[in-house]
Amino acid sequence: MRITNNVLVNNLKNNLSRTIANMERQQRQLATGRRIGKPSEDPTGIVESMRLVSRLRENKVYQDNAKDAISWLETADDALNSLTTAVRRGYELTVQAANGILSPEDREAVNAEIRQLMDEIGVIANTMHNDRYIFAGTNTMNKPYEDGVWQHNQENVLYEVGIGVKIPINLTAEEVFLEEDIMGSLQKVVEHLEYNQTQELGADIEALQKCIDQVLACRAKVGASINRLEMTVARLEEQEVHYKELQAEVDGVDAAQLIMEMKNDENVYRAALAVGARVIMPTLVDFLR
Amino acid sequence: MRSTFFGLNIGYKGLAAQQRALDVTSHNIANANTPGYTRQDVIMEPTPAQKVLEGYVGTGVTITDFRRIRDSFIDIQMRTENRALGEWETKDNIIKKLEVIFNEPSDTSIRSVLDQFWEAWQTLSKNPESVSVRTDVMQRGVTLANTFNHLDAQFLDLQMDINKEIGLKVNEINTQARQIRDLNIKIMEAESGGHTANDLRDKRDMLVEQLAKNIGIDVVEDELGAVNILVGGQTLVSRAVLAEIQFNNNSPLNPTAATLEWYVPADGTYLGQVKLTGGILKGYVDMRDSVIPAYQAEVSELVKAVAEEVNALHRIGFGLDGTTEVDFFTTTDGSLEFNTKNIQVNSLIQEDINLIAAAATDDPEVYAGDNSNALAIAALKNKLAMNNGVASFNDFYMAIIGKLGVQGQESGQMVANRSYIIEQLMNQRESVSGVSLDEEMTNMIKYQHAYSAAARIITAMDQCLETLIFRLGVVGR
Repeated sequence: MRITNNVLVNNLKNNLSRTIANMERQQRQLATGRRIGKPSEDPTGIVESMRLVSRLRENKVYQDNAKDAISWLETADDALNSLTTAVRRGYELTVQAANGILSPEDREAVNAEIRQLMDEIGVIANTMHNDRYIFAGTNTMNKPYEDGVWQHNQENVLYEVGIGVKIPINLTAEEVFLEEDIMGSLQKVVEHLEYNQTQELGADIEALQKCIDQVLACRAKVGASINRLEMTVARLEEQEVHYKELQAEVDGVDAAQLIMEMKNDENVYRAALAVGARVIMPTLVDFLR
Repeated sequence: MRSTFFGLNIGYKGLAAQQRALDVTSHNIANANTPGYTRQDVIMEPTPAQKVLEGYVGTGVTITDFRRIRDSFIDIQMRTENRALGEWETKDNIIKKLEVIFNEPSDTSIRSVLDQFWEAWQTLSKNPESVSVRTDVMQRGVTLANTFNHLDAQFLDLQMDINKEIGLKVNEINTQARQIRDLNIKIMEAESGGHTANDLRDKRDMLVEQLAKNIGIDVVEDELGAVNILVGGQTLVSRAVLAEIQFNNNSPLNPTAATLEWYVPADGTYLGQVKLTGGILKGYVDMRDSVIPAYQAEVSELVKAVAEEVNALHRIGFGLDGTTEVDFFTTTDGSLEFNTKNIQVNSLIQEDINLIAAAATDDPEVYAGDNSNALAIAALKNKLAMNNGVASFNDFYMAIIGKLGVQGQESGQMVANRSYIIEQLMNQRESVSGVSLDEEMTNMIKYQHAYSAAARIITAMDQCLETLIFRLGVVGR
């Protein structure tokens, strides 16, 4: 093949621009830390990467949901804790009243304390989390208990903590206060004490015992839900790490390898320049006199 | 009998021929870097011999031709490859622009905005009564609709830009065709004497090659040295006759309606639509009329499905004040068909966020507390609502991006391949037709020496004559 000066020049230009294009890509990948800048650089890779980014976002939302649910349930747990104490106190007072012969003043004192307890239980029934009544079913904007009247429904508030996984996070007033009627039982005690019908207190004690069992059962349920949600969070966090690893595999940059490739291309580039400088310069003209 | 001055004449012919050869060498060197230039070679021949008693005696040299050293097969290959390169370069360029428009991967792409929209519904499911969360849901909806609208506007912009480019290209093509026609006339005139018009042909070959990149052409050279150029079966240039392409872009807002039409300026007739077979122009028209509308249609399908699925659930839900049967998304122009241009968040909802239906139960007490409809809408994210129930919105959208990526990769590879082939062809052509300075310098020395020698011959002849005239026969003095 006949080689002319322009063949040399063109080849040099083309080779230089190819190497430079390579180096540009490597530099961009190193600078952004991402392997794929545009869909056309790796169509399958980018689809995979986008899917993972979406999954990661979703995962984050589910984690937030689960944590919010735990916080709601912890509020409920605190409320139930106070409720247990209150009902226990009512139970103890009733047992005391049933056992001894109380003077009218003592009965009055016990009665007063039980009324106080009932007020407190009313406050507990109206416990709020984030400005919402937690024992009101889905009727979260209205006080479930006011002046002895219950206003609530038995619907569950559901949070989504995974694709299609919806967890009820509320206990309804029915479950906590009304199946075994705490207020009603205490009210009976008050009435029986007032009219000094101590013989009736035995039945009240039994009713209150059932109330305590009911509250404890609710606490167990809340505890179980919190456990489940904590496990969910742990699983979601593991999943997040997993997704991030996959994402790094698809779209991450292996810096060591890239820098090595870049050094290599840099050498090629320098060599091409050096050879070019030697090849382009001389012609026969340089040696004619 | 030998003529006395016979030798002098041979010497003179030598001088003249070598000097002419030096001129050609000089012309080659001067044009070493001229694009499209073909190196020329001097063809020398001995002049007809003379019959003398003893046999035939040579009479010197003459130049018969300045040969243009060119391989026309490379020209044909170059035209074919350039036609493909033009088309693919254009497609690649537009697809890269589409990639920028879709803006993946990024935090402002449709996918991100869609994700954020579903997230807003998730948040609403946790706080169905909250005004701020409701505002967020509305805003995310507005952002989503705006992103779709913006995409549509960018598609239109791109198509309008393409039409501008097509307009410029058509002008360029018409100018090139006119120049080729003019060169045809000059070459036919110049070559009527039998010699090739080297430099005119170089110029015309280069123009034809540029034209081939702009628009797919078939080239035929006729016996008079004129080229005839056809585009999709219709004559663009035939000897001294010229047709023109006219670009009718009468309604700029409807870019796909623009047409390319044949027009004969000589008699003012129109010869119908231009059939494109390759080149930059075909790349532009294909992108404008098929590729961009296809992406637009696919995104519109997504828009339609998202809007209809959200609306279907939203209509059966209840707002804070118990309002029901409200669409979340509406069309901008009031028609029924959602598409990228034609979607917005219901203006009623934009004015009153209480209308956002998070509750699914018709009970005034729970309009604020029931989150089940918000949950149902948030769950649409993973519903297999596309492609007859096999793909989620995300899957569908990612398939679009995947397709764009594959097309971009293909066009990129085609451009790289064609460029490489053209590089090789350029080198081959350079190898045949290019000027080598070493070679020219060698020739220069060769011709210079021959010139000096011919001059020396004349000097020798001169001395012979001097001897003859001054030294011979002193007797007569």
